[in-house]
Amino acid sequence: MVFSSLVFLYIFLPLCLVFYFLTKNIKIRNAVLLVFSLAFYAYGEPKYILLMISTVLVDYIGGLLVDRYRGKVLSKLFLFLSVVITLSSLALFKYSDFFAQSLNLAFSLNIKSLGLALPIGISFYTFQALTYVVDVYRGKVRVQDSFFKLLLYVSMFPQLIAGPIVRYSDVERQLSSRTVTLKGASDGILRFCIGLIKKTIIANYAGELSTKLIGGDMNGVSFAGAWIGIIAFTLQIYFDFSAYSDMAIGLGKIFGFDFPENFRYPYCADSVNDFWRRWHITLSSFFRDYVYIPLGGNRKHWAFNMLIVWVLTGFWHGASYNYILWGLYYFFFLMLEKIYIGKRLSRTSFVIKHIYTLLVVVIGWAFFYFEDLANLKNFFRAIFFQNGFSTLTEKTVAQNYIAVIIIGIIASLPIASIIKQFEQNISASKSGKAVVNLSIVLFVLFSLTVSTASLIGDSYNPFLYFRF
Amino acid sequence: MYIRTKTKKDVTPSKAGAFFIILAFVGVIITLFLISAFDTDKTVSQKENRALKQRPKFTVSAVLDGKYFSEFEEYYQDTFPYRDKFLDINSKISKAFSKTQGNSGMVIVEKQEKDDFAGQNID
Repeated sequence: MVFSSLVFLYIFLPLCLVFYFLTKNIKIRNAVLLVFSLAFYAYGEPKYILLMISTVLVDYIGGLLVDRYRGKVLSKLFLFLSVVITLSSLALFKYSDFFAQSLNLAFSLNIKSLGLALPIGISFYTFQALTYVVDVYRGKVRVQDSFFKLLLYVSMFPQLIAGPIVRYSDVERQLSSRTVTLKGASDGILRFCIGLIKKTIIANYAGELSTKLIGGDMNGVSFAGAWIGIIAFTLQIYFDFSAYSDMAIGLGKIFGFDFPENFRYPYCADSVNDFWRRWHITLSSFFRDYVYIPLGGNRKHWAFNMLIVWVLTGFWHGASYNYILWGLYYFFFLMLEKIYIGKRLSRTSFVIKHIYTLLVVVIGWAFFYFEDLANLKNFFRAIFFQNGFSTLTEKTVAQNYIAVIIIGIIASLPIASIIKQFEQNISASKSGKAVVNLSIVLFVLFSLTVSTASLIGDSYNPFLYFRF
Repeated sequence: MYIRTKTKKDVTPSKAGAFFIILAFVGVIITLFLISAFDTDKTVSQKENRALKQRPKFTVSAVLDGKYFSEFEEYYQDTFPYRDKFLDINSKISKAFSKTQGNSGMVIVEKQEKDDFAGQNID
């Protein structure tokens, strides 16, 4: 199930809220959340739910054994086993076909692809389960005696399928004791509604635009078509992904959990390094704390460690060469900044810093977007004027979608903090406070109406092609 | 945590404000949930000139291969309360963001032709 669906908004969520708030008993609340989370997962993937439960079971037992043999070699061995088994499910379900095909190509072998469907959220929940067992080993968190609490942590539906990657240490205490306040719940609702509208309006229309311009064969796409197309994708991926995090964080708040922030206006970054401190923060900090530092961090062969981290970061996004290229692309720019241009960059003008960063990031999305390497090549030809400036069709398409580009760009700026500042100023008076609350209520109703309308409108898109 | 609530006291909506925000959200989703659960499903859409998806049959095998839920989703979207009103809103949004009419604006059916549609009685 996804958040931006009618079944979630108008069946799952109301039922879950009603049952959750029937009682204040934390054990019952946890049970409600667990049952709903498992149903949430099973809704789309009835079979793979066993895979997720087994992953949690492995790390649950792993945690107990690591803790029991603390200080001994066995502890390390059990940690190693848990990590290997957890990652092997990722390797099998996500990467085995890629490796088989690569080996076939390299050594002219004939290994058969398994053709397994990718279990939803596997890349996220395996990492979450790993943070538990590794942090138990490191003594950062206490071992969890209750399998159900650990299962609840991994499977909790707000963050189950698309992050943020919540660490066990983030919610360790809240699993046993948490309070929901009116303020917390209303903040959560506002955050959820912001995410809903970001996804159903900006991300979806930007997605339509990018598909129309660069979604097909790139042969013959013009300069303007390629640029506007990749800019539309730049907006789509940010609004899609950060909207999901907004909705997750908002839902978490409604149930009394504090999830970590995942995005901090990434397109306002003034260096590539800064971009990665603002983009998918929970993933980059996962790689820093669970890969880079264990490899030796800055102390030992740091450049090599960086290389490993960025190949893995790329590869994590998908089992295809273009994602590895995307990771290496960022490795190149991060090294460039660290060794050569970092200091000079910080001294240059504001405008140059931002233009440089945005260029790197926007062009970077091309490596992410085009899984087909021939299309990627043609894209680069197009942005360097190989196919002329623009075509009439592309011009019309771009003009039709101009609103989403403008709104998307404005919404990528830190307007929320400006609004907050404004809100703070007018909230000083009693009537000001009432105005703020009234506008939030209206925004919530607006967001629900608009999102529901576009979700219903989408529903018969595919039918049109059959019927007409 | 204590310090944060202290410094932010002016931003926080009052308790009453928070209550109304929650009421607006929860009120809408629960009301629409209840209406969709208890209203009678339409079988045909005049607006789009097509039969609407009906509730799929519940079988264990359909649940296990995921077919039940994807059909249920289509059914739910097709029979959602106030569907035609939402479609109108959607075509306005669609017009603003992509200069197309959305889908609801595309089907024009003459009154006398409707009666034969899929052999079903529309009105």
